[in-house]
Amino acid sequence: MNRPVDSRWPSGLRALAVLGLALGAPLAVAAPTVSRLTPPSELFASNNPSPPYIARFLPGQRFDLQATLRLDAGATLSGFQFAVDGIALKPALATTSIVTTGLSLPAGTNAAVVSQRAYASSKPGVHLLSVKATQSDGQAVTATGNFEVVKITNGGRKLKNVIILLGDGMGATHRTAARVIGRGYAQGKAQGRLAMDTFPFTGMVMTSSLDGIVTDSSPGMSNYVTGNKAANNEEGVWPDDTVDAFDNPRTEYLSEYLHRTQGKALGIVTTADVFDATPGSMAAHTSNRGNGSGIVDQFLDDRRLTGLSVLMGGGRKWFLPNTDELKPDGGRAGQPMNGSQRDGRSDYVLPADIVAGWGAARGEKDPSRDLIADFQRAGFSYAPDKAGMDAAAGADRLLGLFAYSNMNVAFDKIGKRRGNSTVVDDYGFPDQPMLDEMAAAALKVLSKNKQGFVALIEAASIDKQSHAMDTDRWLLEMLEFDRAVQVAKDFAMKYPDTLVIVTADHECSGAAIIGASTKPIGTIQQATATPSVANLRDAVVGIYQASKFPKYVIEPDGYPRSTDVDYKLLIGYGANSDRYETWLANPMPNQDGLQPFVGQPPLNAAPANPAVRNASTGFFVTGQVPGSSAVHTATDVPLSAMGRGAAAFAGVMDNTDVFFKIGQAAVGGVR
Amino acid sequence: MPHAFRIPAAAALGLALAVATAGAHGPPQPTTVQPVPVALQVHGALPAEPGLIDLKFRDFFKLPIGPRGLETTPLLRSLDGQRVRIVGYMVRQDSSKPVTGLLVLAPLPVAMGEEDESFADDLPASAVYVHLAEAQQQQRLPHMPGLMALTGTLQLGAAAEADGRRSMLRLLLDDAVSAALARPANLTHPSFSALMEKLYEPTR
Repeated sequence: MNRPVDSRWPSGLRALAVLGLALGAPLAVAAPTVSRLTPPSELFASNNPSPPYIARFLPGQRFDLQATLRLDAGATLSGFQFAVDGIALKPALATTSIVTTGLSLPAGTNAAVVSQRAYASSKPGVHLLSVKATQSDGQAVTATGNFEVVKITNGGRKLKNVIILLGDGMGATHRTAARVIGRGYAQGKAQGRLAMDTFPFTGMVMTSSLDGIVTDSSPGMSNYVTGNKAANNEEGVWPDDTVDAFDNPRTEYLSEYLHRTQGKALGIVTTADVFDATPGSMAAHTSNRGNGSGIVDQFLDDRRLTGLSVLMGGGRKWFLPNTDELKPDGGRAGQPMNGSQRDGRSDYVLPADIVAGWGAARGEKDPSRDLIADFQRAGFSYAPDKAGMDAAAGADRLLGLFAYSNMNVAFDKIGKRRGNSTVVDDYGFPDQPMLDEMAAAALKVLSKNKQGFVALIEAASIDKQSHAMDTDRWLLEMLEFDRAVQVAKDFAMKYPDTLVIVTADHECSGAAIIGASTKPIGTIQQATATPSVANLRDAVVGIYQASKFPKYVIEPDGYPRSTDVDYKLLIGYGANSDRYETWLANPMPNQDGLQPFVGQPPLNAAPANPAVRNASTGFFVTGQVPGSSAVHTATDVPLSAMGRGAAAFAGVMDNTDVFFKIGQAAVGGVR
Repeated sequence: MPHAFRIPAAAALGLALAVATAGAHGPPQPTTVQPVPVALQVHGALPAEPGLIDLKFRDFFKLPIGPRGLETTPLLRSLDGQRVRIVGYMVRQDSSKPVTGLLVLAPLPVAMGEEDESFADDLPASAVYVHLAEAQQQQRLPHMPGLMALTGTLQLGAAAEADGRRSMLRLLLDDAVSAALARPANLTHPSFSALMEKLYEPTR
């Protein structure tokens, strides 16, 4: 019996199905077929040839071509050929592959994944990409998609440096709240502006990923620096149908493109573990953001592709050799247990076609690698703490690993510096730099490169503390981030061929300023003894004109003396899980199980998560999402820009548009 | 946020049941949950036992953490091969990859292997691989939320484990403790399932 052609089928499949209908034949799906054609396009997915084009590239930007072919039972693939605009491509030696094992397709599927690596086109316009494949019985299939090479206008002055300041999870609420706390309001007017507020051009960014209206941080960052939509959990690649997380079709990063074509250096600075999704999405290519060993190895191994000169953040555990093997006699190899998390399963070995096409390091599953030593051999100075970072001020290359996993947050780092918190001591890293200090050190190193640089400076825990709905902690993360923005702004004022962008990869938690407390802080503190909706919500939350203008005292270090002030600012969460609200600052951060000393005194007194935090002192707020953590949202995020090429960043834009605006200024120049 | 870990307050319920959990790469698999055996439960300070050394997680590594990573304390190194007692939480294993004869003990409740990024990065460095005695080597343990006190012989040094990971520290359980741990419970309660899911669901 004939059935309607499913509009969700790829066009190649549909074409065959239509052919079957036309012939009046029973609709056993004819084979071979093409079930995936990469780069992704709506032309292939839904037969829609119109813009917006899913895949776009700068002239000459490299990317992989790939197709998944479904073959008849018993058939094998005889050959395949990619063509652009009807002209068959001639791949360079060893840059193609056919993969028929290790597929992530259902068992018994007879399929082949065919690739041509590191293709590039310099001809602006929309191009048709087609693949033709023939199986062993002579049957052939052709499928077609499209992509666009974006036209760059030459003329004007080119930018030299690009600084992307990424407030992970930072939505408009986070910015506003930081302004209220850090600058104050009176009679409706802000008494000052954040550094990011002073940027002359501001727009809104749409943040969705290839496969979700709500992105995670991997595509959230990757899309800015590849110009293409990645899928959630994936960095610098498109999805494929193989199990290997390091063989996915790649897109060339901004850092790689500008290092290859202009010799720019790359700097990555984050308050997270350096393998985390956002820093990883500046230079590593993998479909699994969790592949810590492989991601940090790629940072170093492919420095000749990216120009990596600065890498700073947490994540020391990925750099330590894991060699403490037992000998047959029960003795030890001699190296003490160092907490290394290096593991062959999260490491990488690239297939030969990627190595040949991209000139990438092949990689090795080498848990015993001493990556700190390898960085040092490559000319990097290693700073384990702020004192080390300061001492490395004159370095040509800098590796800073300031924590075992994610760094501590500003709330606790400042608490340590003021002598009223031992959290960072208890975590085992008493001398961690602030993000603005890291930014200044990074820019000092990067500015040595005469060809300029691409830098990411990420405030990672705006997101992490928003997930935790720890309001006071993300507020201080925002203030720390804005101090880093000021550092970048000062740099751009001194070096005007610098473009500075301040934005986020996505919003996190659906945060909203709902008003301000109508009570002095002491009254709230007393109310937590008998927590209830009546005592802590109805009696405290001031909305509209009942919310006045809270006053925070800012100390010389740039941070509030306390966030527990009379009539304090109140934040609600629209993407929240179950939690208890007290409105008060939490003396300890949530337990982070990746930290070696968490769960042990005194850190075992810290709350496990928002579902149990303040359970005896707060009123219960029913979550709108499952789990015990707030989630990312699809809300547009603000972007502010200053410097060379900044004028292009006004208006509403897709996150991939950012890449091409940078590209215009870097490649073609701006007037 | 890469992960979140939950305190299993539900341990107090002392109930057992099957929990369906969705692994990252497969269909939901049943995970049996039951209370910690009474003899191994911890309520307040444990009475000292002659000849038995109480080893605490906080005594594993030196503070602050060094430029080249963690460093074990002289105390920990001196206990290699010694009989010790450790109090901790049983790590909730990846339900899609069952293993027999072992559990992982951590200073806080941890769920591992339930999302894509977890497999590489979800165990505290101080996690101890606990091996059951020979008689229980083929037994797959249910998940037991709540503090437990385990006694056995401490073994230091990296080794490959049956779950595919590498351990740094192992506790080879006393026969009696191993037998108690492996003894099945028979109570069930439906509300426990939802609570466990809530407490252990990983986040990104």
